[in-house]
Amino acid sequence: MKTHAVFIKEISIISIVLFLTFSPDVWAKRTEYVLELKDHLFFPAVITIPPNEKVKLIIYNRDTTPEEFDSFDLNREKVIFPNKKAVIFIGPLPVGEYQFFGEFNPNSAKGTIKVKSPLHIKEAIEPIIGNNRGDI
Amino acid sequence: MLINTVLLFLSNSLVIFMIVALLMSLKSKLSLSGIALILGALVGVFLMLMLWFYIDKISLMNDDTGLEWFYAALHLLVYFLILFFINISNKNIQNTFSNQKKSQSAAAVLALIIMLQGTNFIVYFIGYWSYEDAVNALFVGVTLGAGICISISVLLYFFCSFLNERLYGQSTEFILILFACGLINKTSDLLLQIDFLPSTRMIFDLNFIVREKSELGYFLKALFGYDASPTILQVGLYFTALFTAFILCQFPKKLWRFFRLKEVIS
Repeated sequence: MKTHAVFIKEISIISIVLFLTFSPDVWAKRTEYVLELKDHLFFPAVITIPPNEKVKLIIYNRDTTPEEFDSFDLNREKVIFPNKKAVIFIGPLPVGEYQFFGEFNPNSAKGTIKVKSPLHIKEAIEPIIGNNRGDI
Repeated sequence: MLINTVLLFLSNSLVIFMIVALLMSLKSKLSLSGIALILGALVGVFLMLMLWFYIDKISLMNDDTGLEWFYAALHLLVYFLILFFINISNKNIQNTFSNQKKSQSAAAVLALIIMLQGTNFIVYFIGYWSYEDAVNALFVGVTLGAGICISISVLLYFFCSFLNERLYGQSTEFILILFACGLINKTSDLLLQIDFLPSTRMIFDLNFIVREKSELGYFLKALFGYDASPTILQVGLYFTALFTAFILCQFPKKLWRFFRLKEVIS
């Protein structure tokens, strides 16, 4: 006869497996963004992504030394080996700026991920459009 | 580069020194074999070098997520090994076979922790070895980092001995369980990073109390996987791991020693 503890354990495992298998989020296709690391610098140093969306970040290390992609804001950490690439997923994030850096060269390898909604871009453009119309 | 080396050594190697301190504080109580622990450490160093040799190949596996899967699987293995170790230690059977099993599982935990934690630092150390001006900074950094780690582990050893003696007879086992649950937290971080676990928004941010990348943050992260900004899934997994550990290890037992603590205070 199964004990209570074994029963709880089995139920927990089954629940986790079902949750992970049928979670639509896990199998969704992600938008890809590419970063390059050269001479201990990230190119581009600023990436803009949409809010509340998980995205795939592909980082190529073009240096001859390893580097560790690190971000306190994003809670991500991954070693990228010389002349290899690494893949990490970030988000969904609210609007804001998130810093990242290379942990092996924190003084030079720095970058920012800007999370901006299309609405923000529209708000920035609107006053210029208003001036063109000659409303004043 | 010197400060960076010290910080990297601390963030990667503190866990190794802490697990050594925890196992040493249990050594005489559980009759663990010193030779088994030393052998475990040596096997760990060997495995660490082997992993360093193949780490870039592992990282390219499974659509560049091989390293996360590898680390997540080994973290889970260490979690269950720690639970197995505490479970057989709780049975109070004092015979050669039981002592052997305890020592072997403790040695296996030590070996795997050395392999998992040490490899990252080796990647940095060997990667920058070729720079002429870096060698001194690397050596001085490692020496300073080792000094800090040894100091912390000695303090942790005496703190555990004090707690075992004066507060609760199985304090070290309790800290070991928290340590094991911390590994589950690291596993969830890795699986979130490769999009295996669904990400949800963080439920709270404790960075304004203890910054995750501060000295205390490193210590708490190494000890029980402190995460300043976890998601609800991570918190759920942590408490599931804790609950499972308490059931499997038959915790808590009535070994309170408050009267001894009162003696110390008075």
